[in-house]
Amino acid sequence: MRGALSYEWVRLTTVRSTWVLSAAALVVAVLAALAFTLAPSSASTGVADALGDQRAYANVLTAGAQLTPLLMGLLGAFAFGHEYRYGTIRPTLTALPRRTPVAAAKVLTVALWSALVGGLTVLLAALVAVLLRGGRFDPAVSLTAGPAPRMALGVVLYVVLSALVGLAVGWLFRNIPAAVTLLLVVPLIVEPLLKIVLSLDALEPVAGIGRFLPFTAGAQLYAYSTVADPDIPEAFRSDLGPLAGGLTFGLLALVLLAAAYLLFRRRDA
Amino acid sequence: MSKRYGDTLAVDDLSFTLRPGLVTGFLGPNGAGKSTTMRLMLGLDSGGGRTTYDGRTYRELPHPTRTVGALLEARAFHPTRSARSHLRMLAAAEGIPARRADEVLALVGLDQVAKKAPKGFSLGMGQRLGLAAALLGDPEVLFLDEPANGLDPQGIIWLRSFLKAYAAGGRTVFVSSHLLAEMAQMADHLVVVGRGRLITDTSTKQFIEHASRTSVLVRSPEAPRLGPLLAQAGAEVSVEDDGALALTGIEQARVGELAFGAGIVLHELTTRVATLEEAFLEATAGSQEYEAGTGAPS
Repeated sequence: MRGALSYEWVRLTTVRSTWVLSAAALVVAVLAALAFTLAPSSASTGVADALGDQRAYANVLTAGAQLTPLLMGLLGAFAFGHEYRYGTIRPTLTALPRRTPVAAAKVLTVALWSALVGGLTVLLAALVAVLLRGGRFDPAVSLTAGPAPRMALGVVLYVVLSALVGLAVGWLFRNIPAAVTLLLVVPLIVEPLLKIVLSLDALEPVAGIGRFLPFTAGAQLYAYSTVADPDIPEAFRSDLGPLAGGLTFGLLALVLLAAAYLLFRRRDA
Repeated sequence: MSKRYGDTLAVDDLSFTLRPGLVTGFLGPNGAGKSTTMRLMLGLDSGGGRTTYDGRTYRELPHPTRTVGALLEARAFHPTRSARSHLRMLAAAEGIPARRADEVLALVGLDQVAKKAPKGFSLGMGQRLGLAAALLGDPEVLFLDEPANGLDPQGIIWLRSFLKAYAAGGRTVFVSSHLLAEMAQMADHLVVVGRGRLITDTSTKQFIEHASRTSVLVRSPEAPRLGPLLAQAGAEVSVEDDGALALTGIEQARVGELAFGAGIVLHELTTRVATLEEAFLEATAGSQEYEAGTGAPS
């Protein structure tokens, strides 16, 4: 297992895409945090609203949550995707013939790396908020009050689970374009469309399954409100709380990983 | 060192043993199952049978990289990961020190491009990088699938002497190639397969000698008189384009005696040993998976 972890560490850190994707996640998080912090308050009246301020302030923490899950999903998809794309899977499995440690090392390395990047996006966003504090926020609002710590942790978990979903999809399909398409299309198009379809009156009896659409449910991990949030567009809303939402998304990652692992043990390299 | 194995489709109940100290050539027409066999031996593909290395299967080896080095495909690397990083990655799997990556790069002549992204590498350079990877663990056994592909003539000569020296040091070298002239100079032993089945497992010398194309060539101004005489003595006689007689089933000395006895003048009398190519074509006749048509393009 130590050999597999060293191997995987060198693999991850010696390919340019790892650094490009990770740097992009951090840059986007900082820019988004700046935009969230500097944008005029949604209360167009300009009246300081302590509760609204607290919410906007906490939301700065999740600035990276828009793009980081996708970027780390790609990083995950490359873990096996590159191996099959460039035929390095055979040298890999010649050097490490026992497949379980190879799989475990990839899952662990991708999870740790994406947790680190997700955590850094939260820290950088918090730094932006703290440095610009007073610009528009009521001095009374706090970065550690209310749901903020849970949201920060939720961003990291969502990023890690997205990376693992990406890893599993790249592993299952052995194909990077398929994995990328899935990572883009399912959360941004398929799930919102399904929500709209499910909101039709005729589908009322089964409308409840809409809350279990995995990416939408997973996003509850870092939502400010733990109940259905009226500020989020209907198509992206779920009434599952962070715990149930996170478990739903986690279950997707687990099922995909388990399926990919079982196939990996049996298929030819 | 010994390995045995058998399999289902592409490789059909094939079994052989590789011995240390020898370069064993692996021959067969395209699609005969050579690459599949190598993957089976490494546990990359699953199939029937077992390959054992001193009694252990590949997955049971405590130090696979130090036991077996394999070059299966020429371009199995990420295009932007430098040659050196690629080797360091493979070395990390078994805690082989990173400086070994530089050693093997120098050994295969890639030290100048160690830090370059291999996307610009030619096929020959890709082969050298693959060979460097196979040599990382200074292994007891080398498996090389078509290693001469894309190498320049100097590279091929270097590879030949390198592999012969490697085997001479008591290691096992198993190499497939379609360059038969090259194989004839390099391999001590041959495993020949066709349609996944073993055709022969013999020394290179015997393989060539047993080919029926080995013949005696005789040139004489009195060929029309000599021919029937030799046929009477049991030789199979055919007339070459230039009038020389090609004989099989008779020894060179006997031809000379018969000609002398009949007072026939000979201008040339030689034994023509079949080439490995001829021996190979004869041995694998009828077992090609893919056969080109003989018709002229219309």
